[in-house]
Amino acid sequence: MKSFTKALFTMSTVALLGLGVAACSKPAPKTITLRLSLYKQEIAKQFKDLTDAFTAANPGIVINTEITPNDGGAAQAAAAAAGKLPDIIQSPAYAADFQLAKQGYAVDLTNLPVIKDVNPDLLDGVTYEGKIIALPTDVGTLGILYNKAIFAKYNLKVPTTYLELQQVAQTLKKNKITPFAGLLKENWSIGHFMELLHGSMLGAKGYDGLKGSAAIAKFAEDMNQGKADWGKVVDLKAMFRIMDWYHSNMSKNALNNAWNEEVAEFASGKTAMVVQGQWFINPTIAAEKAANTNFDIGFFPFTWSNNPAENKFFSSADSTFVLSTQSSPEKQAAAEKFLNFLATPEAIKIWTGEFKLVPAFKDADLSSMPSAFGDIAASESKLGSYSWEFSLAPDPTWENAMKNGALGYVLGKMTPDQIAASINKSWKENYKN
Amino acid sequence: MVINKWKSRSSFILFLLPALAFYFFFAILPLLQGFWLSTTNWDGTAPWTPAQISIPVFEKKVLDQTPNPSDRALLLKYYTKNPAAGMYQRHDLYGLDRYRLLMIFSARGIVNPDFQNIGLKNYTDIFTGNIDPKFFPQNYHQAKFQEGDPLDNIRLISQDEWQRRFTNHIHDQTELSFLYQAYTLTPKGYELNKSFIPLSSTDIQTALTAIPGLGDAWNDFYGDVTDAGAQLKTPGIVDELIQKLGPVKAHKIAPSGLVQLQSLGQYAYKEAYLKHLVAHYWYVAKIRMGVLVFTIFFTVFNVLFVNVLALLLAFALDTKIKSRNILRSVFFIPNVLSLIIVAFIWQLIFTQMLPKLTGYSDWIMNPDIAPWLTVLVATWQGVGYYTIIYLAGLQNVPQELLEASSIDGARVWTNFRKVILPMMFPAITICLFLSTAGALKTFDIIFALYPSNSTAVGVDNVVINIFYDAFRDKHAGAATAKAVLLMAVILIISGIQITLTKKKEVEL
Repeated sequence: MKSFTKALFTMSTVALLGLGVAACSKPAPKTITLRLSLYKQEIAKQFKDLTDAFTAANPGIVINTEITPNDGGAAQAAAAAAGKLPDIIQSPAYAADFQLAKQGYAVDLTNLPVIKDVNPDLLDGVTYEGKIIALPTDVGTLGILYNKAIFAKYNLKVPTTYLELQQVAQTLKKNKITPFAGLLKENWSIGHFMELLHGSMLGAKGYDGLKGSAAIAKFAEDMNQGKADWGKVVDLKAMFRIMDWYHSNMSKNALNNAWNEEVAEFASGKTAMVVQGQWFINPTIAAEKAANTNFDIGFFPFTWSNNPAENKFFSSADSTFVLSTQSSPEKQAAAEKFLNFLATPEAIKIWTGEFKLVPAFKDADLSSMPSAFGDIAASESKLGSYSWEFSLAPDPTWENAMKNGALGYVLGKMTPDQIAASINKSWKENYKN
Repeated sequence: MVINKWKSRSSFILFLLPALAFYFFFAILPLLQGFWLSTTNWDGTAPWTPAQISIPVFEKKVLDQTPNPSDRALLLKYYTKNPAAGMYQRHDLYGLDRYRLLMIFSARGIVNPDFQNIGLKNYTDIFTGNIDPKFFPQNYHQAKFQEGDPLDNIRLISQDEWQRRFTNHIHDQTELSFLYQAYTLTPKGYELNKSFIPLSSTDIQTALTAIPGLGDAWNDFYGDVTDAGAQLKTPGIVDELIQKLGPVKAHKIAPSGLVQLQSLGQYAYKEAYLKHLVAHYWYVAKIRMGVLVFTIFFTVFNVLFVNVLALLLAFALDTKIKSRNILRSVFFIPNVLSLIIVAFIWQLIFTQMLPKLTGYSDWIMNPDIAPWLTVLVATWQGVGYYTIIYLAGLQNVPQELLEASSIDGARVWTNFRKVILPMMFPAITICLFLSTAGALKTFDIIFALYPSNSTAVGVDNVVINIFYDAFRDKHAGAATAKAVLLMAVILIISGIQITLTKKKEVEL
């Protein structure tokens, strides 16, 4: 026993010495560790595959991913205030990116090689004072997802007008199927209805002689200058009547539903449709496997008008990556390598195959994506799309006036006029340039 | 004597001095910093000193103008020249250097417009009410029916509601008689006549599309008729609108189609008229507590329930029941649980269990119930802790005193009032103090129960409001001012309460 202990002691001493000698004789290659904040929590698990693939291709650079809450404005504010901004910041396009750029936190990426690969339509959301200050990574699309199996069972055609949608809902209800899954226990999903309705009506009706996304952009510019009135540019009463219709066709339990419950409601086949973005597809496919429903998901534009040409998807650059100017030059260079890596076929494969998100790059191969993405492409090539309205509003206006206004309306606590007044006030107060 | 002197000196150095130092660094300094921040218009994200600054400006306006070599060294330590970007870029910066750099830059006149001294404006804004109106109580009308809701929601209206919302409120005779045309009184209440609007709005629109010759004009017609109904125009408007229709003017519609158009138009008009009337009058006048009153509500009821329940539980556990040790653990366990777990458990109860048990599904998001739910969860979570303190206090009441008073003829109630309660006052003092201060600064329970929706539901207390003000609405300076005031309020309330309860304490 004694000799055994002695042997163990000798062995470990030798091993330790050896390690020490090894460490002294061979200086380990310097590893650069980058901090990346990610707000798209739904891809948190799969995101590691991307960073691992990057490290494999670029030995010596490691990326640590930190998850921040959805639309992590608050987390970023705290990090910036504490002087501890991550090296790579995931941030929504438009207002959130512009805010970072305005304060000088965003590295100018105009000359980064990867920018040439980005779909030029998406650069609008990341261009601040003529400079490109973020890399758009994926396209966000809002519309109505539907269960193809239920539609086939009741012989329903994909609606192209509001009346057809109402007819679909009526048939579904006759067959004891709730038309829409709902999520009202949090405020963001109902918040999207505000921009879907307001943006569509504004884009269709036109603003200042412009139509579609251009009208929305011009309206946002006038809001920035305090020259426009959110509640006066569209027929507010008609807008909220449509909101009521959607609300009254949601599942009865919607007020008790958060994200997981809404996904479950749709994936289990209890409801036939859901007003959501493309980010809903991947979790639904996973939930379908668990519920063993395995239906195909279809996608059609948010439908509010009886003129089929006015019902369009909402598509814009969704998330982007901003590089922090507060990082050391080596870290900035390493982070730029990561951004360049994102346009490689290997990274795009992870982006489409695992994240199920449409990459922002030209000619990306979408063959591995679920069929719902084909529906987006088909509709957009025919009708075009609207750009997101909320991204153009100052962050606090979207986070508080719009989201809480919409939820307050559903709870019967706020009237449309009060919501419009609070959006106007918040937009004016919070737009600073 | 010498030893005693050493003892006191060493205890001063070993314990008191570090404690004072800690107190200075972790209480006084943050407080001073907080007060300073509360005099700025900081939005919480704006850098105090530029995150990057163009090379000529930095070199000519800052570096060349800074005579002190240590200041120059500091500037160059944090700002690195990046010729490619044409900028000097700053590295991560925290600690005391942040303040030194700020002083250097403000001495050179380089100030961020989003981080400026604005004096006591944040405080005057609070006291003059120049802040988010949600901070103060307000009247509001809670809508029971919205114009776009389906008719099915108002097929049956109880007699009581009918009386309260309609007959007592509507003074316009046309409006009232319209409602009496639409509804018939049955034993169940006022029921919508099936023949009044026999088709669903979807069916009305579908039938309109089927009228030969009308074509796409149906959509505008339906929209116009609905708008006319919602504006409470007279029924004649339907015929007027029909005459204006292009296909009608062009005689494209057969007489039978016209008859159908008229009756469908009337239905659509009546539906819009009815929905508008009901939406307009069917509301409940309520008061929104606002942040301020909700904080008071939460504090008062939380302190009351926690202390009364804890006292009762302490009495129950002080008896000689067999399971008292297990029960003590049972009551204390909620206090050991992480608050996130507590919120998670109660969310499940509110969203899954209660709806199934009661058949009523609207709990957690109901603005009337929500304030009580937050009090319930906070009480459940806190009561075990105070029970332990009260139990200790109760066990300190000398038995001989109780026996003596019993021999003197005191009954249970007199014993409690004259012996137990005065002897327990030290415990009451500490419990009241802890629970009041704790309730006033509650954050986690409400935040975890209502992750993004507390503002809309109306359960923001002052601390949550400060958090959202600083990080969501980007008013860090104003939020800090509120936090400083909250601290003052807590100090004042606790001070008053301790002096009051201390007076009642007795010593043997």
